Amino acid sequence: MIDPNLRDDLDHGLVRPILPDIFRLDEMGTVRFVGSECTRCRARAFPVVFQCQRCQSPVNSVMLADTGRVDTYTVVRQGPQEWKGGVPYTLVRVILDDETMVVGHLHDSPGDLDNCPGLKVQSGIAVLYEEDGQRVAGPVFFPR
Amino acid sequence: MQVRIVGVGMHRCGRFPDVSYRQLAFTAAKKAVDDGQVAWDQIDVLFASHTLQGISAGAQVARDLGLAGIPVVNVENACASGTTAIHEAAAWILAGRADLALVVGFEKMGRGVISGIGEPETYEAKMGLNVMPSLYGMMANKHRARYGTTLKQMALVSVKNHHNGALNPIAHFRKEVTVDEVLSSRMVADPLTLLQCCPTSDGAAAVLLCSDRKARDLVAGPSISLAGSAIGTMAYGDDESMVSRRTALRAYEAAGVGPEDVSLAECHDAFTIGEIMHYEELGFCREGEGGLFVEQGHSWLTGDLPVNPSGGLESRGHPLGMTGVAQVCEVVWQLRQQAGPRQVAGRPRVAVTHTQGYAGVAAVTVITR
Repeated sequence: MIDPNLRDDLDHGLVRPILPDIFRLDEMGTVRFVGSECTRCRARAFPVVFQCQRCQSPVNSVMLADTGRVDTYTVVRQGPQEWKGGVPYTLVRVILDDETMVVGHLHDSPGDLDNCPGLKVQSGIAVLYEEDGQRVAGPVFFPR
Repeated sequence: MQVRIVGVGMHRCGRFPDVSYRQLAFTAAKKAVDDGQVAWDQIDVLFASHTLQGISAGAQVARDLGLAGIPVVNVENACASGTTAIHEAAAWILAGRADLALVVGFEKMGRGVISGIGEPETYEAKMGLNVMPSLYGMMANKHRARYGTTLKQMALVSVKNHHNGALNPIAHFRKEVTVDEVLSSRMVADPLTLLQCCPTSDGAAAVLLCSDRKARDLVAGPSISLAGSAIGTMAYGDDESMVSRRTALRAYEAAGVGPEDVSLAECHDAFTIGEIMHYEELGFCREGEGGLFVEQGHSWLTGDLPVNPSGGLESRGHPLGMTGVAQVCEVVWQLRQQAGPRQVAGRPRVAVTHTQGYAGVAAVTVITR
């Protein structure tokens, strides 16, 4: 899920990604987070790892499932010093449809967060903060 | 062979801007050595537990103590550093590499939420995920959704531990709080309010570990043993409870006891939900019943299994490198029946200490009289 204007700005370098190759757009234009998949046991991980965390075999980078469900959440009212964005922000732990666990920001969250566990979400991109006069975009989830 | 604990000592916790970590460590170490009535030149090795004090802080402490020349091992394992240092010092004794080991845990903390953990320029750092209250906030909301744990039950952990801390002269915060005060304090990471989070404190603690053979030569006192210990990390696919559960089982097995034998515990209550989950992980109650365990009074000072009689991390304080060592000091005082107004009832014989920390580490000790 990506706003067309944001995609245009990313394409023209007006917005930069928070980290290189943390997300990609698939052939349908859908935002997919980039993780690792084991070449032997197929275990997946996000963010990418050096080798399989379950069986220590080599891994390939893969585009992860673009949908999942919220396992749990919190709202951060006091962020770490290294966080360059504002507070509050909502964090969710999501189990993607391919079983990969991802902790990330939730945007456009529903009003009553007590109903957040089990919420269906879609991976996407949003501007998180500005740094050195440039907008920085990162991977986030949106309710489906 | 068993490892004996022959001396303990602490510098009180608090904010000490004019006191260096070396002074804190010196005070705690001297108290432990005085408590054990051992000569300084009998100490074979120093284990120094710290996370934020820079390179070779242990060697500086050794020099201050006049111990320069003996092996010094610096230990960093996040919030579990102190317990890990004790576990490793015991391994030296059990391997016959030392008869008398001094473990000193010390820390001076910055203000605000603990930041800068983990490697910079990573996904977690860039996205603002490395903030401990948020990790526990997510655990709390999962526990609430899965088991119906209530906000009041979480607040009761804070009320209990602040009550205990008010009785402890070395605690950072010695003020009782009410459920209403806990729940109405500033929200830090939903549903955790400020009074459900440990403070950032300065402090130091020290423990003297001794071989059986050497203990026979020392001044007779209550025989306290480090009966078993274990350290662990999260495995792939684990949820956050598994590492403490698995590590506790290994420590119980090493000690030849089970949770049904435990008289009291000091556990990692950095955030209230943590203590509720640790009741379950340490085997004190069934999974999902941690909230009821505190609500029904079991873990209070007057309960059948007091937890955190020191006031815990929330009231005594949580100088990271100190905490695991301070927990052992507390249970030794309790087992010796020297804990004053916070002394647990009866004649406690088996105590457990537990710490866990960033990146999924855990450490557990079983200490017996």
